Amino acid sequence: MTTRAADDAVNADRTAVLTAGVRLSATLRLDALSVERVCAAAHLDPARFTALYPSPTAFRCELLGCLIDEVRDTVARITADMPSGIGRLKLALKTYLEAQATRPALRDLLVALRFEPAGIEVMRRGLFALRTMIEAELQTAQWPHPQASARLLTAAVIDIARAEQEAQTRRDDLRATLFDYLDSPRP
Amino acid sequence: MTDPRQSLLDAGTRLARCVDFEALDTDRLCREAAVDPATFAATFGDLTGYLAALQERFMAALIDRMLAATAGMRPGLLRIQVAIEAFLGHCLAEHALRGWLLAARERPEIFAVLERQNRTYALLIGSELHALGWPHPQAAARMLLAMINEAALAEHRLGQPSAEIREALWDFLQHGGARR
Repeated sequence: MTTRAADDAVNADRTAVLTAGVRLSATLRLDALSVERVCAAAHLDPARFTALYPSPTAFRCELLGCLIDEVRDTVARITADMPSGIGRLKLALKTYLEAQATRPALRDLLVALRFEPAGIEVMRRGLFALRTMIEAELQTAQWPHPQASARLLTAAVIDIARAEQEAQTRRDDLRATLFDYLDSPRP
Repeated sequence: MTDPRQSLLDAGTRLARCVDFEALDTDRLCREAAVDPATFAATFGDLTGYLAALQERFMAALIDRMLAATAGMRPGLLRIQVAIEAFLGHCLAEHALRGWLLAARERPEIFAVLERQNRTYALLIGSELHALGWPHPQAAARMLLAMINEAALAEHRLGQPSAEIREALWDFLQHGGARR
């Protein structure tokens, strides 16, 4: 096999493994997402895995990136036809929190990779996208100090997601506090 | 006779001003504090144990500063705001040490210390918000704490107070307790 053909084969198998990982993560917890199980779902020999990723952690980091992108795409799709502003921001944040609450493996990955440099970098990119989205909606709504508020609200939303991870259920009190604040009357 | 624990913690505060966190090691701390490595090991176990103690001392000083700033004040939003200003002010005043402690958070043991301290702060803020009649005081306290920590991080990177960040915090204090 030529080098080019070998690279193409690796890329195709990586895509197959990642796609299988994303699919399985909708229903399984992280500890059930073993290399053997993911490879079986991708119709690959587990021995092939070491040619695709240097370690299971490297695979997990890439899987986390895919899942975060998927959440971002879901938010964008659901809010696409709405006018920009607080209503759309609330729907976006609700969708974001729901996507995390209903993806057990995503919740687990966020915890498992929080001390891994590559995982932290993936999370940073996700945070930046979330903050940018919040800032754009606050600007449209003429919210005071939209940039600073977006930064603080992003931290609050991430903390709500974490609280829901810890509780393994939705935290209606936290969500109500966030949405009531966004709904609070402005002069 | 000088308490070696105190000497080592004081040495850390001094070293933070001139040594990057990545360059920190126990030998350097021991030399700075004039304490032998065996005493260091007996007192803190290892560098992570030392950093946890440094974090605890930082937070104790922070609480002292907040209590001093709010002494004699009546419960209410103004008292919470003054306490937050004291918190942010202390973080900036100890900028170098805070830089070390921020870097140390990537160690699970230090993260666990911070989590414990955050829970204590959330309880304190929650009881204030409860007295003010906020509908979900503990939830609001947790959210506010996440925002305060982010504000402190933003100001740390700036190296000075940010009027915008603080206004955004006060906005949550003013409107976060609104009922739908």
